[in-house]
Amino acid sequence: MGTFLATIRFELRKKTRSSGEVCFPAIFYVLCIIFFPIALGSETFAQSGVASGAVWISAILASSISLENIFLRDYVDGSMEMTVLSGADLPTFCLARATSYWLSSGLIILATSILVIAILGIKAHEGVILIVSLSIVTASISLIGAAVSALTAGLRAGSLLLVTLLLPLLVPPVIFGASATLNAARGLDSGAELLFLSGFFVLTLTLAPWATAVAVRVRIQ
Amino acid sequence: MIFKMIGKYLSTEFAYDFCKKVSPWLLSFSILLICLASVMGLYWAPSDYQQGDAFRIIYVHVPSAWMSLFVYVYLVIAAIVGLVWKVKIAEIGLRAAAPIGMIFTIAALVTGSIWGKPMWGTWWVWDARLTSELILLFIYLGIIGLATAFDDPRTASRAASVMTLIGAVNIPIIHYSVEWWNTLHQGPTITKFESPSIDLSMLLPLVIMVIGFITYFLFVLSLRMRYEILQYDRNTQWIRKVIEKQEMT
Repeated sequence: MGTFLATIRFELRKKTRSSGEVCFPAIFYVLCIIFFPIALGSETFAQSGVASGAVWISAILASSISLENIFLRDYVDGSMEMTVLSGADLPTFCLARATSYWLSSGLIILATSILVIAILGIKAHEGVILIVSLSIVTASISLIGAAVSALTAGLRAGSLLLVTLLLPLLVPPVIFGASATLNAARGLDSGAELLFLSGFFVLTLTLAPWATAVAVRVRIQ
Repeated sequence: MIFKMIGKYLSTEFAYDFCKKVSPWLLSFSILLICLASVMGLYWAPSDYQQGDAFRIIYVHVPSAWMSLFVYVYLVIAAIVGLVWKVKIAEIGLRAAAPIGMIFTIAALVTGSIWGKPMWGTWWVWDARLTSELILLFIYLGIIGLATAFDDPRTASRAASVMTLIGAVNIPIIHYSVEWWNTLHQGPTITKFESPSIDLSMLLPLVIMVIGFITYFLFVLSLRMRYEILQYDRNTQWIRKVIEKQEMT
């Protein structure tokens, strides 16, 4: 527990001192949404369900774009070796890193989403479901992304490879998250999808930190 | 104790010789089986009452699709053996097999597309099976990308092993969620294989073709294993001897 809290506190302090790192996911997110009405035409964009689809795609891209930063510096400056050698509980350390990543990117994206939902005129009920499912999915992305980031950070084509490895794994949460939102837009119940999403999140939470730890050990030897 | 007994068979030197010995056999068996199944599938099997002779692409399409999963199962076993017991030959086997699996996946997608054009009227439908096969292709591409991204081949194969296992947990989830997504949105599209069991005269060539594809996979695997072993052990003494012997003859 000590490692967990200390790591989170340290990471967050580091991130708040460089304001750019916290703001850029949100800026990218909004920029990404702007392209949807431009590409689809504002008439199509105004149809029910299209705007929340755009929010989904943008949120996923924005929350995976800076995943490489979770472990990049540790590999480059050699502090990952120190962490492994120090005998710290590696899965806990990885979970703390994923959590602090979510706090500094997922949470910001969620906060921006509230604003975006209000501006795009997405209905209140649909908006609530969107926020709930987005929060579960961004948390899952942070956990899976930590594992993939531990494998790829610092490689020659690291960031491209990261996205190639990560996006296929995100298909299930996006299917269920987006259909929860679509159901809400059509006035249907979306409890089943949210339950599935939570199940997926719990599975990720139990497996991902250990997979991340294994990935770190594979890289350091 | 056990490791001492089987240790000899796990050495790269033994594997290199073994692959060299079996590959001509595997090649001839696979040619024989694939030719036999092709003749049976193209002449002996009756044409389908609905699809006519166009259904005969099944003898390439279905074995490719099965092989794409078969190779993934093989990769998972190799990854577990490689990561848990640190067996070098399993790591080599993983690196050698991943591109073959990718090729089978591409073959399944391309033949499915060619089949879909006259039957469904389009090259591509967002059918559950097609979509999950496409995602499988990207998982293969990711594993191969990771296996070639490191300078050190051992780290590369271990990283690819970890990714294989992460993918293995996800593939069933992806498959069922895609199926669920598809049925939710458009109802079942044309479900080709849910017709009551296929007739024996059509099934037999298919089974022979699958066995032929497996032997073909093992043949390509034995070639690629030798290549990977040469890469792994390029600085060792026994490789030098092998190459000297080849240069003499």
